[in-house]
Amino acid sequence: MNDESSFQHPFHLRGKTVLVTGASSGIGRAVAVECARAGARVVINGRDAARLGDTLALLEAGLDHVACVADLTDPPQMARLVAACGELDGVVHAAGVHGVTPLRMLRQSFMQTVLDANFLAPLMLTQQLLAKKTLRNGASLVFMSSIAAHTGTVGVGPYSASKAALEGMIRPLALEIAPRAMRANAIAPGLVDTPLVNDDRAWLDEKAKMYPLGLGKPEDVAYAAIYLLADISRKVTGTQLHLDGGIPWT
Amino acid sequence: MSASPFSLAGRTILITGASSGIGEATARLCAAMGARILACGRDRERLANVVADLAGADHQTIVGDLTDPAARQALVDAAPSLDGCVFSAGAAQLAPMRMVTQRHLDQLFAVNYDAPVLLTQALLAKRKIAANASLVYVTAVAEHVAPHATGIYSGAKAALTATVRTIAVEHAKQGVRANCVSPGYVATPMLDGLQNVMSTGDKAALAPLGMIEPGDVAGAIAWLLAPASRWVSRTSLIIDSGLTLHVR
Repeated sequence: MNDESSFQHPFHLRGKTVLVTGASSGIGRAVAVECARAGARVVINGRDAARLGDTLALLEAGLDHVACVADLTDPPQMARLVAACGELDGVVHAAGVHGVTPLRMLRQSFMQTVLDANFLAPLMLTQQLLAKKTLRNGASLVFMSSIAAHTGTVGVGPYSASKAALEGMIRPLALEIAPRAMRANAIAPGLVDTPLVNDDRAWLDEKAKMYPLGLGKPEDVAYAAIYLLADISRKVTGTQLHLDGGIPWT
Repeated sequence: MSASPFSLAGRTILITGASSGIGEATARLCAAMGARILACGRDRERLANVVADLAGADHQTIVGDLTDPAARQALVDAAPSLDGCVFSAGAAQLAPMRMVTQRHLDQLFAVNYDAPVLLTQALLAKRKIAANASLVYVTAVAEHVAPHATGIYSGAKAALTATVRTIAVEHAKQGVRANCVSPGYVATPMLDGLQNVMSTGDKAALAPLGMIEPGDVAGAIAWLLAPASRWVSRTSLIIDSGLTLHVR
């Protein structure tokens, strides 16, 4: 009992294979890197072959990590990814796009592209993984939501709606997959310093003042994903894990 | 990166209610992750047994009932600078609303609200909370669902959750974080104590992922204490095995 050397903390993913979408940059890349460091074999997906290759090169060596280039808004490409995955113990849906436009200027075609990338892609990838029996019993599904699903920001309507749709899907999904001890949870981060949002540094610095603990780093999100993927969270399902530097909202 | 974001090495962590249930499991896990534990509980013998069994060295015990102002004062005086606090001392009693008394209300609020809140106040006032410390409060998913006969228990836990948000926002400047874990039915002595007034086994069977063990809650608490969650504050993590999915 007092033997410290034999103890290994429960926040590890040894023996697990985890699919990470959107792994070519930002949060997805950090999730892939940290999952590999936590002991997982990682299947990474993204649209940009060169940048996805860069992520693959960053992964802790030793396990047979796989990169699969696919645009998940295109069904044949998604099918190719599902076929390439093999059996999975976890999925982190980190692929996503901006969706910023004031409502009076919104075109339906724009709304559709935001929904396709942020809502329908993770939803239908989950459907495919379930239908093709790719998920092992006890698998943990982690969806990337956003604080924007819960708060109001001018112009962010399409993005907020797409993330709120995702969160709405998670509770029924959690109930449907529970008989196989599988779980579904969302992570709802505030502003994380990633290429998705850091092209305008002045705007980002101004926004950072709203966050009592500052802006998030991609690794912060990765560590939350590791908690939700690990067996230690086996009783956590259907939740949103809020990760936002303590920004005041309810 | 040097140290593992999941290590508690070099951290001193206060755990209330450490002599059994969630507090005991949290003490075991945090000690195994490298923390030095200040364990607080009412039962001297059980507390000593828990601490004797912890990994590592230099752990401390302090016996006392934290609803007693003198016991809180003694704890605050004895406490070193704390890098983490886990407020897991709590009690549940059931009463349908038409039978609620002032005494029932006072007892449940004294243990579940006043004690953790006033202990936090005293630790902050005496500067016992180190910069970048993480405070974790154990509430209950009852705060959201408030089933039959839990009106006052649920109310005390919901009140605690609200106050924790203020603690978080007031002390973020020092990098201090404050969060709640909100469990469903956990297999603890507290739940056993309710067996004569409700069928807790039947209730737990309603949870799609089954009965929750104290170690499951301890895992969430340890994550909230570790540097891995340095950007998480002012939130509440539900660990309910899916029990309340259909109503939240």
